[in-house]
Amino acid sequence: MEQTKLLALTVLVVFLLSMIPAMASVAGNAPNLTKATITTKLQTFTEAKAGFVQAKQDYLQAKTNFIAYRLQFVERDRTAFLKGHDMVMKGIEQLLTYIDALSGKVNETQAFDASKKTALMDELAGYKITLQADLTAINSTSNVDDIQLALNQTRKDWMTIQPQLKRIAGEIIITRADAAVAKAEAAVIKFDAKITELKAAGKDTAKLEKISSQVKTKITAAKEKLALAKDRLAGVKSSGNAQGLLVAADQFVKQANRWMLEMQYLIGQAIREVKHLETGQEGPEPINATLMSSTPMTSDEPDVGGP
Amino acid sequence: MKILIIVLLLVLFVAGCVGQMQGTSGQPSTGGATTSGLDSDLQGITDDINAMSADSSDLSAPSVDLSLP
Repeated sequence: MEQTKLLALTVLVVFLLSMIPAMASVAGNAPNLTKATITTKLQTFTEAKAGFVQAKQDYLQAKTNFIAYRLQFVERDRTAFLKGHDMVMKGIEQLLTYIDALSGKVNETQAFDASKKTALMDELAGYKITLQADLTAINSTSNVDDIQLALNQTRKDWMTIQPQLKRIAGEIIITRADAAVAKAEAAVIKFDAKITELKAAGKDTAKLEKISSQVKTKITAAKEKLALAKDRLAGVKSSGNAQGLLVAADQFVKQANRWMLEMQYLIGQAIREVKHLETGQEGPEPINATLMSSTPMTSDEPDVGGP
Repeated sequence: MKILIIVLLLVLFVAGCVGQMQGTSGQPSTGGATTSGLDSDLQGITDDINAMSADSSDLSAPSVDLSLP
């Protein structure tokens, strides 16, 4: 009888333990759903970006087609007008697809909260409406004079919109920088804990302490530059000197990026030192991050000449 | 009966060992738990800095000539 009870108890324990992986799987579904949402947003951005790349190629082809008819356009040749009309239409379509890509990127940027995303995406939708109206106006033109008139309005609108698109792109870049700096700050806290732990174990932590201190200096410098960049970008929407503010923000982000590269390198060295103190072995050199060559706050995509 | 119980307990022991191995197989093998966390932090930092460059390239404003001769 006792043996039967023991057997029943053992079977019950085995059954309950066999349920653990299933329960863990259910618990893991919540992060998986979040991951799926992130993947969908990333895919939306990727598709929008592909649309932008295609629109750019279409525009460049239309531009090439028009260049051959430049002189005839001035002489109000009908075929030349149609070539010019097509080029301008494709140009505006390219701007619209760029706004789609930027909107997709805003939606995909996890560091933006829901209200920030909504505000930026609404702002971008407003710019699209303006440019779509310009596109409609140009589409309805049938002669050189009308298209020139419609283009005046488009240029005026684009000069207002472009700095704001650069501002939004800059904000996206800065969220990436903020995320990296936050992770670096978390790493420094771990280094400090390691130093205490290793010291208690009788290890010489002088080198680790020195590197950790250097990392803190780089973090402070990067944060200072990022704060200045944010300050300049914040003024772009209301200032009459949007271009000057964008150039300044561009410089501050590039400076922050350089501090961050040094920060990343030193964190790699600090981790090597932790491993060295813990195991007595030298780990491999960490892979360095890539330095930014330009930011979207000042750079435009290179073009190939003009009519 | 005793043999059956021993076999069941053995199965339980082996299952526990397999579960333990599966639980740790996804973690980097270098260093201890804290060092693994630091490796992950470094990877995240590197990814974010590289994303700054990639996003900059992706989000460069288009250059369009909005004029006609």
